[in-house]
Amino acid sequence: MRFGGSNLVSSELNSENKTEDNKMENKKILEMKGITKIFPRVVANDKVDFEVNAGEIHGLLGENGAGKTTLMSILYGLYRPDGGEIIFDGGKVEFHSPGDAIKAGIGMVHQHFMLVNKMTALNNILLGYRTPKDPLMDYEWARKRVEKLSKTYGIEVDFDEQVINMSVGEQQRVEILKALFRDVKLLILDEPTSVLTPIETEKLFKALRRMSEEGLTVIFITHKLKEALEVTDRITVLRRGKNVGTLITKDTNEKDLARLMVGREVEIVIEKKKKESGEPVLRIEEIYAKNDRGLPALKGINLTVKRGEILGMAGVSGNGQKELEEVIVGTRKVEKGRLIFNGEDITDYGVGRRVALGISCIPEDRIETGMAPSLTVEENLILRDYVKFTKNGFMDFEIIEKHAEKLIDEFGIKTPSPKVAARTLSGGNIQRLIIARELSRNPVLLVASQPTRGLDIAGIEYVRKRLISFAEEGKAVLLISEDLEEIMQLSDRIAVIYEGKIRGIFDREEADLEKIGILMSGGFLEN
Amino acid sequence: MRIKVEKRLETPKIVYIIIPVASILTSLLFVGVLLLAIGVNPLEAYGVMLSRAFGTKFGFTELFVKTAPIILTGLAVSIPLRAGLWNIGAEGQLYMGAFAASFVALYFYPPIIVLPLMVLFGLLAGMAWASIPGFLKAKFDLNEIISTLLLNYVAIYWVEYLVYGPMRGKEVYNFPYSDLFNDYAILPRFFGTRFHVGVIISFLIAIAIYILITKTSYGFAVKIVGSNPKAAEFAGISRKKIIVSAMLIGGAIAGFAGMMEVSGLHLRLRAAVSPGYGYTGIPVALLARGNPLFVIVAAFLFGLLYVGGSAMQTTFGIPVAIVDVFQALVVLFIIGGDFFTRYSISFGEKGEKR
Amino acid sequence: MIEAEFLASLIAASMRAGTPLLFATLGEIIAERSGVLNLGLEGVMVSGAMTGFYISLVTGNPWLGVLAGGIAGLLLALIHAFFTVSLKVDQAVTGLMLVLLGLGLTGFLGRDLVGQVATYIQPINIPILSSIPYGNAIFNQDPVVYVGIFLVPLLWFLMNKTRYGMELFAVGENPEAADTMGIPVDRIRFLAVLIGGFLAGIGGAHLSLAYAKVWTDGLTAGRGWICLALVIFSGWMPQRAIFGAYLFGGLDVLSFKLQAVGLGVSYHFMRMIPYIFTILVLLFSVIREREKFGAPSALGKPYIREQKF
Repeated sequence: MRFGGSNLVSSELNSENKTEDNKMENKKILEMKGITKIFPRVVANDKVDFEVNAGEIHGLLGENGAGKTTLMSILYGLYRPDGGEIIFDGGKVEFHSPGDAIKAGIGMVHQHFMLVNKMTALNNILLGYRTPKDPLMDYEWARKRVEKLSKTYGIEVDFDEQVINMSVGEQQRVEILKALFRDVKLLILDEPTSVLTPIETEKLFKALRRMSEEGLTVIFITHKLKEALEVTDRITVLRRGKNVGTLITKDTNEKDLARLMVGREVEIVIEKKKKESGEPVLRIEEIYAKNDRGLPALKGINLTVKRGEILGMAGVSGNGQKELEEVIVGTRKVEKGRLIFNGEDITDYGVGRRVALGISCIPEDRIETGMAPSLTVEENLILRDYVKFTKNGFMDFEIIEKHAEKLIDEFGIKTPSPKVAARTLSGGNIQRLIIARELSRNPVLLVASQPTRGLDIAGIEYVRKRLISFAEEGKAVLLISEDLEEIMQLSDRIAVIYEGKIRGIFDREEADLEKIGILMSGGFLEN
Repeated sequence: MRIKVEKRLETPKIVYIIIPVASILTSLLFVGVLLLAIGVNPLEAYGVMLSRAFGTKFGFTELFVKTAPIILTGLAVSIPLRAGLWNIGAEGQLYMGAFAASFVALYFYPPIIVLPLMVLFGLLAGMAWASIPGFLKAKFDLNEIISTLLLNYVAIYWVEYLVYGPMRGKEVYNFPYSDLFNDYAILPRFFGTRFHVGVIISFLIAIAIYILITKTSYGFAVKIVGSNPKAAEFAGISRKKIIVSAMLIGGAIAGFAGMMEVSGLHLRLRAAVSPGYGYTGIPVALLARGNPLFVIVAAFLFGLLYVGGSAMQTTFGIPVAIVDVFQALVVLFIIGGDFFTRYSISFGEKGEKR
Repeated sequence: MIEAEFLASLIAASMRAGTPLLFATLGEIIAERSGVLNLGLEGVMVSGAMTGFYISLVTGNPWLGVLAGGIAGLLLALIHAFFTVSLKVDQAVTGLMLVLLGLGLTGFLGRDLVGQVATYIQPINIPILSSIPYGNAIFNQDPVVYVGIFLVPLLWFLMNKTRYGMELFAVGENPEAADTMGIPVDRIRFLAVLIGGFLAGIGGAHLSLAYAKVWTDGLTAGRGWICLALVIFSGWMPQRAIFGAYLFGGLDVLSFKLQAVGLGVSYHFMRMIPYIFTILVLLFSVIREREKFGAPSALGKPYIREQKF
């Protein structure tokens, strides 16, 4: 993945020209000019100019933290910009709330779904909408309308089902219908594919193309190059809060985009030697467990993680990954089955005992489970072994501080001091803090759940290299990730989880995206 | 014109001093207006309040006598609060401690063991009373605010029942009192005033609790549970054990306060053991932000209020309820002021300006 | 026959005693459905009780008293709404201080009202219903009781069949989702807290003007807390709240009646029972509701849009 610097300049210039050309042919529906948004720590948007033509699918590409969501939240009236103006559908607009944006004809599907779980799909779609019989709820009228939309775009939903009982894919369809129901002219989708299986992604793309045909404009926020190339007409790239270029999709390629997005040579390919894996470290035998709502989440999981390997677990989130993580850590009760760690049955061991045996974990919810936000950095660094830092029941503050200084240095945690509250750290540094804590006690097994989610390229690289070197030391890693690329890149073996069961295990050589995709969506492989 | 409200990353230290001081002054102002409304000169009233507390030996020792139980109830609220629990039940735990200690004082012998047993029973009764909401919270996630509060009524009516019934004294005419305790069941007093040894013990307890919650691994575990219960479980800390134990410690301290009040002050069990010290513990804990040493400071403020409040009652006939009003106002102003510690507010023209 | 008559009068008295609870519980259901917990219910009720009593005493018109009670409750709720909704302050702290403030203010300002006699709310006979057997007892209530009964289906309808109810529900479940659909979260929460305070204030006024018929310091005696438990017991549903309220009204009445019958049980001992019973009911509700949906998901959590930093 390398190309010359001069190439880049020309591509930026080219794109400008092409945009000029396009203006001639297409009517602009949206113009954002000089948008600036400053948060206390960062400039999220720095004088961003952004234009979208009517009826196109426009990709908004950028790394995590590049300011894509902020820009769109401003457009949607969620944030007020500190500078700049917005021209939508022919006139200057100023949105004080999402209500204003909706009225103007803008809809947004957020990355974290904005649905009321305890309501039916239909009520969610009608949320805040005034039906003809307002203030009464005119369900009959609404149902007819939704059904028509559903047919037009091929988006199917069970309207009477409670959202809480729906799969993520179905929830997303409710979100899209919610926006379409309001006759939007412009639909913003924020990272819509991150929760979908490859098959669902295909369906979504089909619906998006359908919308474009019907004259709807779509803004598609993503950090995945391939998807941007596959579905969009044009792509705007944001980097560190700035617009670094708008390109016509059919005239660009993955390399150019990557270069533009990161702003430097990208070496995403990480060296991963083929290694013979050794003895089993963890044996999971017929594990059954329930989720927080008391429903079966794990239905007879069998899995072995071996010394020196990274076992990747692929699957759409919500299929039991989190429960499995918790079962291994010891915070979730096992209904049935056994966990064997280095030959020892640890099924009934508490969390502390497992930590002592050498089981570490980077949890999926790093802020919700991984740390105590109001405690200091140094306190968070001993969170799971604080007992080791005591003398006769008293905390040994001197050693705690030394320990913290050492880890801050070794793992490059950026913090003004070990004594500041951990919540003031940025997301990437919180992740480093957790990794530092979990790796510093020299564990035998590491469960890494979504370890790179939300990190920028530098952070992702750092974490992935750490995981690989950890495995190379002869330790075992169970890598749980929604990011298939990450799984393919790092794993020695790949297991696919679907609805609480392991649907297949592949060696790295025999695994391919298509096979995994089918299993992830509950399909079967023909032999 | 546009108001921009932003989360502060860091708060200037001075804000933490200005806000409480300003809150106390503003509350005095508000209460002054109320006093004016019923025709009392507030300056005169505050003057009486101060001269009572600081003008005489009796008043000054009385300040300590009233502060001591507030320190204890402040601690009884603070410790569970550090684990994220609201112990609104210190009042009831205090009454149960008073009841148990009185029971020992009236019916146990030989004299030599009575005082130690009173302490022990006071602690245990407070603990037992606090264990109910603690257990219900840990086991069933039952709202501890409601359960601790409801148990206050039960405890108070229980003591009322006793002093109107089975434990009513023989020589008290028709008053709801028990008989006076024997001398061996009474805490030693000093200076010829009501200053009793319990006051000193209260200070020592505060210091001991300070060490427990800031220096020991138990205190660390409590802090983690209070900050993030899920992280605590991830760290192998049993949230349930911490919840129950924090409630037990809080209850024990409140129970001791009850013992101290009957044995050091009232010298008998009576219907009104406390004028609401258990509730005063809540603002005290909030003002002290859970720090036991600050609890001592905050307790003095409210101790002064109680001394002054009773002085105002005798001099001007002002109901002691004014103390509650003052407490509520101080806390409301402080938490309102907290808004400024958490957020910075800037006024500016719309748009353009950075 | 005597038993039946006793029962009828017991039911009637339970309704009267339960009406303050009903009003406060319904009010708190609305507030909590919007995601705001008002622990200050006790303070709000007692303010309504004193103010209602005072205004009726001064004007001789109990209806002005009821209205004034509602307004007093609303003013206290205004403090709560301003602190928790506008300033995003911790709801538990503000609520607890509201209790102190309400009890303190009424104790302070109401000192001269103790022992006074105000004009009370008179019962009205409902023509036909009161002529059925034993109906005379049950359908001979004061108008506030009837209004309370009428409020239940009204609130049920508003909460379940209208856009207002949907928006209230959404704001209490997922304020962010509501916000992104243009629903004004803070405005709805503010309003819900005010309505809750108004109803609780009326409940308090009914207590002093129709049930207790006196003013004493701390007249509500923990009823605000019992109502908080009743909200949980009712599963945040108005139609269930009425049963809880009348049940506890009945318990209140029963403790007096049994004493009058002279079972030899001490009055002080009987007074403990409602509180113990409340905890048991609460426990029962918590265990039963566990698998169900239960509390509004965002209850007690302040909503701030620009949270990112």
